[in-house]
Amino acid sequence: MASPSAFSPNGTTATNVAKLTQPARRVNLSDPPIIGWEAIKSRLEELSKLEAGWDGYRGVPMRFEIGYFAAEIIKNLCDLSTPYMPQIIPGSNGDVQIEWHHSGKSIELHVKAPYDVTAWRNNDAVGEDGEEINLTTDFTAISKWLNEFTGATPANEAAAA
Amino acid sequence: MTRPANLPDFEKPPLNEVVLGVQFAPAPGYQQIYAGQVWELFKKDFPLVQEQPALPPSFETFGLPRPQIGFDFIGAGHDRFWFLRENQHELIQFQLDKFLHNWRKVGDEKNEYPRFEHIISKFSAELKTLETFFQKNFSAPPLSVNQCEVTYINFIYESDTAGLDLNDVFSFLNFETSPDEVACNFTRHILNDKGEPRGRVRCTLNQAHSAKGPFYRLEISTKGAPDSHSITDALSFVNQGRVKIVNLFKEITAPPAHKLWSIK
Repeated sequence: MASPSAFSPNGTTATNVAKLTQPARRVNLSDPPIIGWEAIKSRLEELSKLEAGWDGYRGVPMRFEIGYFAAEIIKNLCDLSTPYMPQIIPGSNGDVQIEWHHSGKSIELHVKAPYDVTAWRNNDAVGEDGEEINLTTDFTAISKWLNEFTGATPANEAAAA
Repeated sequence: MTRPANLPDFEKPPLNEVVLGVQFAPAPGYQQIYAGQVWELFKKDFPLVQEQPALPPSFETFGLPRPQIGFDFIGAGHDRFWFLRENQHELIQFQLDKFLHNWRKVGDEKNEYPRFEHIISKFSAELKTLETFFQKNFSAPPLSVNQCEVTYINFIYESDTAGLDLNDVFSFLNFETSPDEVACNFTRHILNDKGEPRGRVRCTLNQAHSAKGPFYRLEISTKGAPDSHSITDALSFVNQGRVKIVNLFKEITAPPAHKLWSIK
């Protein structure tokens, strides 16, 4: 939902130039720390500080909007009960890869830009060559892939509740 | 540009604020130190400046479970700057990856809404000026827009709707007895030509108070990804978003209130 404070300036007073009173935050994890989430937070912070040539060649630092979009995907796909936390791997063009690996199965999301994601997975059903789909705004398929990956289904979750 | 035919039109809409905005990939090499040069582009009409905390990026994605954990990755440390007109009726909001143009009621709230066509004309010119600045000074490619937004915020004062009960103001409410407190929201998806979700129309209604008295705050916004990253398609999304907002406003408000707002 749009936040009024996001862009509604009503009620503020203006002098010619007003000084910012709060420092900008970089990463904020608001829930109780969990080892997996701490690792993700640290990893994103680390990638956001990469410098040009980080890979020893001409690697470009992780782009700000790509990192945020990747964080948004991870936030929406993984809840506190997710047993498998993803790895986050930078690409050389400022892009980033989000990967899950377990027992010979893999899901990989290549975030090339906001709304430009290539998703790939392999498992017993689709074989080693895997299946690949391109995604822009709709990540329903990835939710299903991840549920199959972790073995979670609505029925399983209801039984465990 | 001209107003679309058959779009509902109100002479005295209860509008308090209108926002047009885009989010874009930061220009390579651009840093906050150059924000002063960005202000120079608009300073003649917007001579006042305020610093604000940066807004986080926002994206409209679909098909994912609801967020389970608070996780704000703010990223690049660039403040948000408000460049305001002398009368503060309009302002530009600028940060590393966002550019917005607001109109709002201020002071005694008697400043009239200049109409969408006026605002988008200014916004369009400002965007192109910003794009040229990045291209000229950073050899940047054309502005790459990844998110657009349009928001209309209405303040419906109880004193202005005296004699009408809640059901006469909001068509989607049907109470036998008006409640004491109201807060609700709903969302519609915006689909592209292929039926794929591209954005959302969000509507929120709640109550508030100001010096003028109690009012209902009705906010309707459209946010989503344009068809391409170009300014042209971004403005197309903004135009279409406005049409959705105005049509929804008429749909969810009731004829007695339309009469008060002088619907044409």
